[in-house]
Amino acid sequence: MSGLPRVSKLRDAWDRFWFAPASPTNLGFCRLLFYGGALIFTWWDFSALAEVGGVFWKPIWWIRLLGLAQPSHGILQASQEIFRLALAASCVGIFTRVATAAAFFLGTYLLSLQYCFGGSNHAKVIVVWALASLALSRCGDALSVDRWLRARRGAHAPEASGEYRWPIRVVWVAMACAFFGAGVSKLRHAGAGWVTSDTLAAYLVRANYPIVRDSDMPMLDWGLWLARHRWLCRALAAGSVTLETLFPLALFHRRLRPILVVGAFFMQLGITAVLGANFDVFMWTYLFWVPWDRVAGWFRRVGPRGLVPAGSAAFR
Amino acid sequence: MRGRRLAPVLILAGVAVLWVGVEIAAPAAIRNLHAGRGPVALQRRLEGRERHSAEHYVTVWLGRARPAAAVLTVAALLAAALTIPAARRSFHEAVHRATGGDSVPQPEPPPRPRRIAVAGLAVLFAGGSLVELAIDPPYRGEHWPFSQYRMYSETPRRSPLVGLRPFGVTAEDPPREILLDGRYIRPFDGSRLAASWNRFVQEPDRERLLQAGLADCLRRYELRRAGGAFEGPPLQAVRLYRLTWDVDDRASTRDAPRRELICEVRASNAPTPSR
Repeated sequence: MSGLPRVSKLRDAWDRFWFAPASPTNLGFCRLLFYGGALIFTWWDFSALAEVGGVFWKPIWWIRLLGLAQPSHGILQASQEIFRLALAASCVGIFTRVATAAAFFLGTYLLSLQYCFGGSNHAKVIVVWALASLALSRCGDALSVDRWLRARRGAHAPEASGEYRWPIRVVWVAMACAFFGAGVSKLRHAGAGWVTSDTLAAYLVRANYPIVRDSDMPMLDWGLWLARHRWLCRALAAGSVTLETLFPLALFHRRLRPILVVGAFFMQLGITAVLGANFDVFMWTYLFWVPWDRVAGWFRRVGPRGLVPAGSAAFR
Repeated sequence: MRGRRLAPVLILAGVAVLWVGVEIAAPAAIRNLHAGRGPVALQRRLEGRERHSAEHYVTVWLGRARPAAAVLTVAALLAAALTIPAARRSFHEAVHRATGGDSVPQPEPPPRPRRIAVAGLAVLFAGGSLVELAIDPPYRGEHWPFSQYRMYSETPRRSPLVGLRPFGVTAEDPPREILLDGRYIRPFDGSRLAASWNRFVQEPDRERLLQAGLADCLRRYELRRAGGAFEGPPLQAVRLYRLTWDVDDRASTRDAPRRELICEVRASNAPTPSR
């Protein structure tokens, strides 16, 4: 019988993690910034994929499972226009529920099509999970046109609720899985050798050869300098693997959270600078770690009056 | 009480059965299927049976199944350990502390459908990621949008570097060879196209695939050029080269790779791109 209270405790811990009350403003800021960034980072002519010869078509697993063929130019053109509209509507929060759902379904489809030519890539996986999480959420309850319209009709501003915490936590878990996977993959494939050998130095030198990424050369050639300092490379490699493997602690440990999150952000920035990998939209999702309601509160206290409409019913 | 004692025994028995299945039963079944015995539907799963031995498939199976079984074993042992009251108490306390304990405001109970949706999303994502990590599919072969994020995870060969690259031969006098980089071959970038060439050269009908791929690059180059997407000379042919760089620490050889012609398609007799 003693098992039941413990199950109840575990359930409470689960509920606290996902559903502890949070301000709708925080999620509203995340929605506004995320969809704005997604609109920029996914601004790509998907319709061009219709022109590629069928010899390159190698559908990913779920496209193959659903029996979907290479789409026509018309379908892709229409899909991308609706996708962009949905992202813009989600950003400003108008018809938010419909817009976020459309953004999720069309975004997943269009992004996945890129990987049906030449193999998959994980750079934009995080977007899909963020889109899914926001599509299921009440992210339009603050800082949105929908909220403004509801306020005009006399509706009260929403109170803090668990509904405004879990969508952000889903993105946190997605990022934690990404970093943990990256750390474990390195240890699995190269073992301690990833740190103790010259693996990172070799990657740094390779990145300066146009072997793979002629479109994504490193921003700087500092990698060549780093590669000549083997102990520095090994220290950076050790730091990277440690950071990646321990990143899930950021979900639970409040003191470690800023260290791990800021550390991971600068690590990815460094990778982009010297290795050339493009993490644009992944890095944009770090915005989910920022407590925007507290930032707004800080601006209200120290910033010029009127910068943030304090307590405004329409924009809560 | 009896059920509580029975649980760890059943869990450990389950783990034993799992490993027998992974190490003995499944390899035996694979060997049988390879030899043409067993359900035809399963035999069809062994693509390229005529090219690979049974041991190849057993190796692939073990490479994927062992990590997955290891993950399941750890989870099962953890579950077995949690049947011990003292261990369970310590675990609950640790989880309670880790998630903020009593310092976080008590949650409002969200509606049940919402809680199920959130739990479903979390389990789907975390479960999918863990499975991906366990089976560890090849790079660029992930079950998107799940991934084990294995970029930069392997120990790379320092030198030489080898890559396949398409070049256009201009219809000028004298003709020049220009690298067909991103702006000429959109919507591909260099790395995505390189992955396709690497796949083609491993296929049995590589010549047909390479020719069809190069013909498609040539067709799209001319289409985009005619549409004003870039200013470039017309092409009389497209060639695929294997480039080999002897690497040095200062990347001084990056513009001087050795080149070996793999395939060529001329505009005058380009095949129709097809699957």
